[in-house]
Amino acid sequence: MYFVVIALFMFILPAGSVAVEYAALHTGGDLVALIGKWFAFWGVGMRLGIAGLRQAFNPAFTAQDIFEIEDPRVHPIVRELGFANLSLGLLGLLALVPGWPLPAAIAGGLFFALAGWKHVNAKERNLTRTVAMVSDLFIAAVLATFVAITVFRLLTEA
Amino acid sequence: MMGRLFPRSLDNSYEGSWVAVWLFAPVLIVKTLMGFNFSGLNPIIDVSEILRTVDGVPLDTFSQEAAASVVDSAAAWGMALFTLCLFAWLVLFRYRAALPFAILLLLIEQVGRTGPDTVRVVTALIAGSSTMSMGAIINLTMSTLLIVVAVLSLLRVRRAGSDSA
Repeated sequence: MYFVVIALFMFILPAGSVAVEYAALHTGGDLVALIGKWFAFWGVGMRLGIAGLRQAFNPAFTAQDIFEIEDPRVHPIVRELGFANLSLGLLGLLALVPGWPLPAAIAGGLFFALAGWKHVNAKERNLTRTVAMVSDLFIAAVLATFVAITVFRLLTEA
Repeated sequence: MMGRLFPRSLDNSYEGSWVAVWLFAPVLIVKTLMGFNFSGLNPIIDVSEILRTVDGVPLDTFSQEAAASVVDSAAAWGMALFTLCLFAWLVLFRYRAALPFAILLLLIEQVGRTGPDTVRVVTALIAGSSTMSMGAIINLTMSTLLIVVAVLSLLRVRRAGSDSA
């Protein structure tokens, strides 16, 4: 299930949304802008937002099913992570509003780059952690490329 | 108000009170340090030690994998908080039109994270059954400051383009 969710939010849904808006809707939009908008929306907004909602309002689920810990003293930590993810997710959701994809991509890209870097430096990596590392670094690279091209364009237009 | 919370264009035109900016800055400094220290980016801070001693999480009673997951979860929180703070610093210096939204993000994080505990502590305090710990006082102060800052940032005290304090 985890791998399906990762594949959906980090590649299939954003790539599908870009394809639909670019080709099917004939918006004639800039492909770089579309990639930044949809990858920030799905990868940052929806992925972190949904994870944050579940962690914030049902910490027992994450504690028991993911950590395999029954001790309720872990719940506040899961809840803390949930509300932080929810805040970042909210910023990601705003990528659909004109003017907001760039800040959403900067914050989301930085978060996933740091998270990916942590996975890279982990002493031990199982399959789940390897998939998390690859997906985090992938979305960070996509968003960083979008940010770099957008900032370059803004500087050369100025 | 929604227009100021979610501005259509991100520039440096800020219409709220400057008091909000000056109150927000120290809160942001504290939260940035919290995020940096918990994220694992600070080599002299041991996250698992903080969890054990400050948060009272009995990591030693968990399996090695479970304890590592809890520490990773705390580090992920630190990283998310640190990222939110960097976004807020960017807004504070360059895109002040989005300042109310940046404050809202940190308010959600702060009140969501500490709200239930704060309510419990304040209720116990009113009932006279306990005293407030230093951590509870800090959290209550930060939550109160952020609420005040959020309100002040949404007040329209000047028109966009006017830069006088």
